[in-house]
Amino acid sequence: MDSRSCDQLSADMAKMSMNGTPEEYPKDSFDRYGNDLCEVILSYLSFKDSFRFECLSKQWQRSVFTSRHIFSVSDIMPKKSQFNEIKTITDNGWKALESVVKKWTHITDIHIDIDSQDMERNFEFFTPHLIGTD
Amino acid sequence: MNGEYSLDTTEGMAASGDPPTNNAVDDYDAEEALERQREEENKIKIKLKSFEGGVYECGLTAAKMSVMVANMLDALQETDLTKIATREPIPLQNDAVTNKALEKIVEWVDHHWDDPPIDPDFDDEKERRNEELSHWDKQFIDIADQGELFDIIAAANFMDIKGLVEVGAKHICNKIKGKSCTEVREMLKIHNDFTPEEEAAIHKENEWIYAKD
Repeated sequence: MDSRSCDQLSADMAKMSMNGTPEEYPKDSFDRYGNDLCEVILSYLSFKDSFRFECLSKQWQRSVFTSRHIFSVSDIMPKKSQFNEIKTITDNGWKALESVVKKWTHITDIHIDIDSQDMERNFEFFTPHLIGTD
Repeated sequence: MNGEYSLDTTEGMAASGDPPTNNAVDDYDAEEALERQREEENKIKIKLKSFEGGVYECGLTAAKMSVMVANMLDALQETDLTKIATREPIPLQNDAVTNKALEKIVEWVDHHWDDPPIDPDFDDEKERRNEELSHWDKQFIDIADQGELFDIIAAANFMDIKGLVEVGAKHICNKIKGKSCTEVREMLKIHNDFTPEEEAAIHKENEWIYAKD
């Protein structure tokens, strides 16, 4: 530890926050936030960003999926123009679904928007797989 | 997966509006009355005191957007609301509630006091989450000093002002959208506490994100 961070540390130790824990992090570091607030903030990441940023730090890995209660199936579906037949739920889509099922442990709502006939067929094909997951 | 499934549009492709409620008229009257009461109450000014000692005045209805302040006021059991105005300032005992942060928070609640309350009903949650910030909120939260921005979000969280925490959260998520992990770490000053091997393993799990559909 260099002398600058020693100074920083002792300054931080000197000012204790109200719950008695030392302030370890600079004010402009996201690391200052506790898990609760971190969870809330990260729940606003887009679907892909939530997976992309899982690797930022251990806190992000812990927090990034815990407050995601709503899963929109359209997030893992190919774009509408690519719907030609039921097979178009690609390998990627399955991998994505697998990740969601494994990592989003607090889902309460699953949204499926059915706005085309292709989508409706997909929905019929897809639902048993979704409900079948534990 | 636990919980209920809400399959919103299983009815099919026909777009459907909200069904009219049976007692819409009663609801409307009650809403009007509540609205007037909130308006009256907001004319009463109360004082809030930051962690640094600065005192800021704020409309009562606006102040009550903070669930914490609302609870503290309830605990006073003061039936004559005008007396609240003459009381000692309410101390906000968390070091994120700096003078600057509290000043901004008061500005925010004063602007938003007549917003409809956030519906805890999940039906609206997806829509609310995806909604873009208003022009006013965007300007409000676009704060160059990151320490100050983080103070405001932490203070709003401490004071339990859900709407403002949401504004801060959307702002941060917007800022880092599309950036690389390295860029985000640098920007938000996040310490990477993974070993290279651990990080690579997470990348591998999430490889599918980078592939094209």
